[in-house]
Amino acid sequence: MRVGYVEIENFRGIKQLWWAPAAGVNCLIGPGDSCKTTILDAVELALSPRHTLSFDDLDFFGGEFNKATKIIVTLTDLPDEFISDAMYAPYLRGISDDGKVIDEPPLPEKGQHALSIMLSIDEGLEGTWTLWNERVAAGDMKERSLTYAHRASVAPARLGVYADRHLSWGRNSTLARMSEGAAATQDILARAGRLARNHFKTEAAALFKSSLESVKLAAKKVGLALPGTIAAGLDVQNLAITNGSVAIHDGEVPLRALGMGSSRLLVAALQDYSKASLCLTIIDEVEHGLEPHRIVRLLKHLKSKDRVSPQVFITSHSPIVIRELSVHDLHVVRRAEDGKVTVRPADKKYSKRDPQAPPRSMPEAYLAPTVLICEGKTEVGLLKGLDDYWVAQHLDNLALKGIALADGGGVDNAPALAGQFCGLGYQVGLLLDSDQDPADTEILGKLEKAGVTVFRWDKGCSTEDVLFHQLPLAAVEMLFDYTLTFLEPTAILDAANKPRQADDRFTSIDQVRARLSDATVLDALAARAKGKKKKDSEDLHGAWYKDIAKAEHIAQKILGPHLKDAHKGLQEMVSALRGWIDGHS
Amino acid sequence: MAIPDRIRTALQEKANGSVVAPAGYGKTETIADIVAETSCRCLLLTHTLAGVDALRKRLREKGVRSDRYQLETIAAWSLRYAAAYPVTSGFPRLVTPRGHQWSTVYASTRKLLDGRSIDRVIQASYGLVLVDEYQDCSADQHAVVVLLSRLVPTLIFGDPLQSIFDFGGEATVRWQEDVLPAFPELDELGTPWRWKNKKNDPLAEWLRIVRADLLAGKAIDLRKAPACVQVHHLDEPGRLRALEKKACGHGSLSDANRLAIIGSKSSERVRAALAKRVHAQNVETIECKDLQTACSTIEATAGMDRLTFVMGLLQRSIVGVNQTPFLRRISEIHGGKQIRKPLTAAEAAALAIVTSDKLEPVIAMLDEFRKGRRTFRGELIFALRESLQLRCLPGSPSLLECAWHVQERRRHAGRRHGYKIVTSTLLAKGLEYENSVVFLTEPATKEDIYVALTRASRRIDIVTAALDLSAK
Repeated sequence: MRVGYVEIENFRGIKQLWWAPAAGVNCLIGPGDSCKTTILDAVELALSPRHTLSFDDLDFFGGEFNKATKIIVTLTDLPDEFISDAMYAPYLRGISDDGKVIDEPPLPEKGQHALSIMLSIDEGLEGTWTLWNERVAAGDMKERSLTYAHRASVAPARLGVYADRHLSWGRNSTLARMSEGAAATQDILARAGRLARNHFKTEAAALFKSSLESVKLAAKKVGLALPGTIAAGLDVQNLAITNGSVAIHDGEVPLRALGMGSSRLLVAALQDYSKASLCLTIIDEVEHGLEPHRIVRLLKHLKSKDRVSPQVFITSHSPIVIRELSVHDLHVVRRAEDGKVTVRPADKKYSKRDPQAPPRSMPEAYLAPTVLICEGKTEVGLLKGLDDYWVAQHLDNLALKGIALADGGGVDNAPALAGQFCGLGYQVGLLLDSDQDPADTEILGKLEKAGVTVFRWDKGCSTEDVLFHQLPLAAVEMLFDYTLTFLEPTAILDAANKPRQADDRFTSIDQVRARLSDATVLDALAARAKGKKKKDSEDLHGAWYKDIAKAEHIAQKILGPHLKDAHKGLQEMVSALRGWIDGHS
Repeated sequence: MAIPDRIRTALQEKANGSVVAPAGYGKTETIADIVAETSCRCLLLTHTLAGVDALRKRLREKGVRSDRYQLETIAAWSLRYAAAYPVTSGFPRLVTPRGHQWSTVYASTRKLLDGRSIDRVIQASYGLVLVDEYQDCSADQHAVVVLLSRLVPTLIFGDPLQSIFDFGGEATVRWQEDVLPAFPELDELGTPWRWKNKKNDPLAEWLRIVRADLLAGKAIDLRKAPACVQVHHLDEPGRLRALEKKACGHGSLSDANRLAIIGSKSSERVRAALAKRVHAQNVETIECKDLQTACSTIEATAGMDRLTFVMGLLQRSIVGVNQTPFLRRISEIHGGKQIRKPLTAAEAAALAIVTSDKLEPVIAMLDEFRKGRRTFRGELIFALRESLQLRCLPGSPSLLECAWHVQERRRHAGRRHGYKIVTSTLLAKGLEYENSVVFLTEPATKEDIYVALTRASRRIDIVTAALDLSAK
């Protein structure tokens, strides 16, 4: 069995949500407050074996308790036992192969049988769990819910942030389930209690000996003869061995004193071993308390095919998790301001590009609400530098605004990447230079229509052109000096001399520096800074500033401080970019 | 009793097939044995609620747990499935279909099963389908069972010689043409348990010959009947009443020694009159046309007309009611005549009927006239009384509609009759009594003759015009 569809209405932060989870691992990612955990809570509540849970006003969307909460979880891959008309046959629905819920069973070649369980909470704050479909809603069929045994078999096994509880024989703990049912646990506990009392009687006799003697003496004085056999014993009523007071120990230390990560790993393993759920495993913050190598191990385990409940819902804020999972496992959660929450599979393709590449190369970008995709490393560096500069100017930094930077990998790749993130519901900015347009001439128009904000330098300008031509002389001199810190002077000299006649060449680096107001010199330097052509190829190599650290330094120390004296085009572009940044909260 | 070998083999091979079961040959028992012995969950279908009850009782006696089978009428099963998936089946929302609406139910069920979208539901639900009284299947019901047999091994049980259907009702499935091609004959049950258990082998043997003769189209020689069969030969028509009285005059009847008098198949009134003459209870048909007529007439009339109708009904249902003097006295009192004798409770109720539009006085009339008298159409009078009570509740539908609800409830609750009843072949088929009276004074089909003669396990009284009896 697995969850095939989830619908949520008016539950906590969620006004409305529809989601078709995949079989296997579903990792919910997205910025904070996108209600990822609320989705997990909703599924767990709807599939809860206990129907006596109580709720409060805060469980309603916006606290509006007069708008009923509805959570409908549709299960599919049903066992024959559920499908039989001795059980739930009349309540059956279907899930079509394209993930849509239909009210009656579909033809076998078009979909699967399904059963919907609805939890509704009304203003009485009590939940009702029923098997739901349109026929029940229309009153044509009487309401019923799953039997207790079946509820137990669909209940998800949840691994919370703190898993200690499961390392003792407490109520509903994994260990209790492993002891072959509640009755068996009670029996074991009763026997344990007897053991403890017997043991106490023999060992503790010496401890209480003198006080018992005093009791006998006092009794004698009032003529009461106590039998010689009186002894100190444990009172059964006051000292019962209850659920939860027996825990796994290593020597004298309870196992729950293991590190948080270790205890969570152990509980995850125990849950699997005990077949805690035939349906679904839910894990909050899967990376919590785990080192990267143990995260990787746990994820591998969750993805292994031989698990009893192969469907897993997890949330994560860890780039490691995003990188390690397949893109098919990732689901991007976004919450709009009106409370509508969307869950989109991250493997949605954009213009035939492999959707697997971005989560491997830029997992961090998936964790921010907004992504600014830069054409290449230079632009990423420039933005980082500008961010540092802005922080010094007491402006909000990019992280505060929820903006992640991503290296778009070139003029053709970056727009496609922007399209991909935009399609997943992220707010996207795209920064391209302007000396070359993307091969797909229509893509920028399409992106802008889809809501991507595109930033470009003045027409025909590369980033290097901007640096050499659109900054004031003092800034260009600083750039020149900075370039000398990592390049051989001869390399710069060669670059400056390249377009010049033999008789007009510079002989020293100082000569070049003195001529930085000369546009031909700047042209030559900018051209070389972009890189030089390889033999028999149009590709450039050996660019001067295609390095995040260098570009960052340039932006922070040179571009930022000189912005107010820069060329109007550059000023406008940067202020537009800043305006866009400030538009995010 | 063991499951016959040929049926056992068919079960192992998961084959579809039919079993011919002569009346009294332990069909219900065999079905219960099959359910008890198989490991899968079985779907048991039959035609009447009485049949459902009989099977359930037998399964309980064998200690078969109720989660091992699903037992219901073909009608109820079809309605349940058609209504469960209304989009797929195209079933309009009918909570309790009536009359011709049932053909919509079967058409929807066929569409649903034909669509294949619930194949897995059927296969997950049942490992074996057993259908009882198959000779009573309509063509629609047969089509549903054939679709089921495509998914799950299906055995059907029936007897073409007991195929009796209501005059004007829907035709039943044809055995040779429809049933056998879909369900090849596996076996014919061979032990006459009904008579064997009562140590009445002579009757069993004679009925075996009767069956063979009827199937072969030969005349039955009543002179060869065993001693437990009393033949009252009607040599001159004028003696019918005398023979009737003699045949029906059994002594020492009780719940363990019942008498079923099998009367006219077509007329409720004729049977009711017979019940009155021979001091028996009349068994009403399920739809009970007299009840329907009574309901619509009572609601359509008022005053003296209504009273006259009610009195006529009482006279036809209760012994010792004479409507003429009663009606004369009421109309005189109503006309203003001074009376010396005080009004009886019945007279007061009758005057209330004449002067008011209320239905409560009708109930009072029924109650007053039943006191101290023998009601031979008890079922009719009780059903009418219950319908009137229902009609008196606020917001109730028409009296006819109330009667329909009352009949539905009685049908589901199961009916109990006295130990001396007048019934018909249609009403008595599938039921078993100790003694019977069979009137063979008018032409009858071979099915009617066979069903009539196979109801009793101890003794039969036959009133007949001919000693060599042929079916029409």
